[in-house]
Amino acid sequence: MKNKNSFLLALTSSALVLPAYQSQAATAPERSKFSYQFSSYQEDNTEASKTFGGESERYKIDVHQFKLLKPINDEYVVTLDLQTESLSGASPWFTELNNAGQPQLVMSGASISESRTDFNASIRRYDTNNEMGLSISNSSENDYTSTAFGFDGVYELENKHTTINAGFGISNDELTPTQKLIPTSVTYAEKDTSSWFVGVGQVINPNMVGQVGLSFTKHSGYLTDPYKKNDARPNERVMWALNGGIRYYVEDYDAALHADYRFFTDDWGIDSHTITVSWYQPIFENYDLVPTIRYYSQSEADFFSNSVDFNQTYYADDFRLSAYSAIETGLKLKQKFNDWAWSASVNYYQSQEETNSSPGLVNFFRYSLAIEYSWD
Amino acid sequence: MQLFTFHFKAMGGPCKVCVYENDESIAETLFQKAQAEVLRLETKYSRYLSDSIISQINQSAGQNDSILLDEETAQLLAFANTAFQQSDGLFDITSGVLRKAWDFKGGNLPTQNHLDELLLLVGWQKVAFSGSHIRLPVKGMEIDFGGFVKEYAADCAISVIEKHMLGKPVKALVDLAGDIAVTSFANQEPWSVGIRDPKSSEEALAAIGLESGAIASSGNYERYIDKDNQRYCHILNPLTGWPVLDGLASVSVKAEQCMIAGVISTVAMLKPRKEAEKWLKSLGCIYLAIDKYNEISGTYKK
Repeated sequence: MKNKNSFLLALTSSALVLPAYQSQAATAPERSKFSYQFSSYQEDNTEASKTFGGESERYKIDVHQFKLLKPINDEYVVTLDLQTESLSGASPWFTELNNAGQPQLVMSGASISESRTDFNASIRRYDTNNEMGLSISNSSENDYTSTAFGFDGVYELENKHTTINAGFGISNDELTPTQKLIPTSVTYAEKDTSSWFVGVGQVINPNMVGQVGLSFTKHSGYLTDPYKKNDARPNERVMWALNGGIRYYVEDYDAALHADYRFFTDDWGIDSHTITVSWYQPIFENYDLVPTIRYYSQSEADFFSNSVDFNQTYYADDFRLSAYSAIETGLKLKQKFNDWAWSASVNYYQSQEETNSSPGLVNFFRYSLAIEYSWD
Repeated sequence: MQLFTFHFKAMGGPCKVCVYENDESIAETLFQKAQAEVLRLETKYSRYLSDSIISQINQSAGQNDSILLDEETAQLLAFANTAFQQSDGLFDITSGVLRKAWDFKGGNLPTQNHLDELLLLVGWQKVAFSGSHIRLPVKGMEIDFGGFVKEYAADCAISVIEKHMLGKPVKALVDLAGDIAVTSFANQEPWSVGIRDPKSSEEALAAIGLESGAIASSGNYERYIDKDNQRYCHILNPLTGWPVLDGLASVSVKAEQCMIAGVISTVAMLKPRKEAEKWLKSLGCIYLAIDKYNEISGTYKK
């Protein structure tokens, strides 16, 4: 017969994987986890009628993400993330009116090819009713480097029905635009960002959890896009976002409904609304099917125009600053089995023109494949 | 706070749920959730229902195809596998077929030939279990969750109660025919759990205090044959096909999980009395043992 410790330990550790033995308390993850995800993002070509140079390809981006989560002891968990991105294709350089007075794009021309590497390390400490996290990250491309720090905390109130979370972050970006086919507006620039958020999560009843949050972000420094011809933006941008959401367990279908709304406003004149609804439906024993639909709508920046006036202090014809709306639909299939989990998802994003929208609006298709392994 | 007690029948015995609550409707809801969970497991793991996962596995014994398991069943089988290995084969969910030789109602002892025949069908080590699939290689082999599903159901019922209360402390007890689990709560009086007299189904011989966790009991009083001053109880050694003749009359074990307490109490009943007590002490767990003279021993507190 095995000795006392090995007998009880072996039985306990094989029992504790059953959901009935998993407590709801905010405790540190006990298992190590490694995951890998591949995503491929492909923007639709820009139609010939919207450019001066005929139909044009746009960006294609392939992303590889690796994540390792490792509990150090009962209290501390370390997470490492590595992400590499390879990007190719062309982007709008500027917009001009054609002879008929319609705005048309001039694309950046030859296909560019870039790669980017992001690295993030974080450590989290878990206590009985609170947790805290500290993170550092770095992102680099041949013409861009960003370094960021973040701190956040979660606090659970006595009744366990309410959690409060808050955090702040700072980052510094350095831009060193490369001079190739198109001239850039600067050869070196910097940008600083600071942000904070607060949020409250509330258990409303056994089947419903709600959350609201407020976040604030301030960019200062060189915010103009150096690769765009008609672009001169303010040196500061202050942004606020208010979000709310519910998670509702629908007993009749053993499914969960996630519904979220976000309102965004900034001092450049952009207001936006995002509504996201997802349905988590278990099928068979270990599968989840998750359809998602998202609606997005924004107003244009005060200084946006498809035909910029260089006499103004600020101007831009970047489609991301124009008024538009978009609908994104997605479908995800997940399977979890013992130590393994995998998922596959497809998403299609389609923008809709509004009055005075940029001809550069983008549609894209994305698919992702992910696999995850957990161990003791 | 008022004590509400609800009785129901499940898993072949009398069951009850006790809840301290101010609000009767909350107590009632907790009872209904707990009862539904117990009935879910009874249906899922019954070997009497032909469409249960256990029946599917047993009916496919001897065939080439292995059966795909749902996650809960796979995890329970992984637990049973650990219990088998850690008990050196004494806890074996394939031993149920031995009951074909044991006529507890008629009171006749089996022949060794009949037991030897059935023992060919016993042995978890013969089962092909991959973690996600299972195949019983010999026609006639059976698995049976009877040895731990009642204990598991008690744990699950408590988990359902705690989850329904969303972490708000609640004092509740689930008793499935003697397998007992309680919610964890601080600074309150422990439950006093009566341990039955092996010689009388009505009398409690002792009591154990239970402030959290669970108590599971095994005894020689459920089904047995008394012959020539010797009791042959229904807890059979899967290696020999016979019960242990110089074992304990009953043993109750306290553990964090009822399912684990159940494995310990079953394994203890399959050892000679002295060896069983030595082993229980070496585990460092709280137990109460009763021998055939109704002498009580153990590490329990009242």
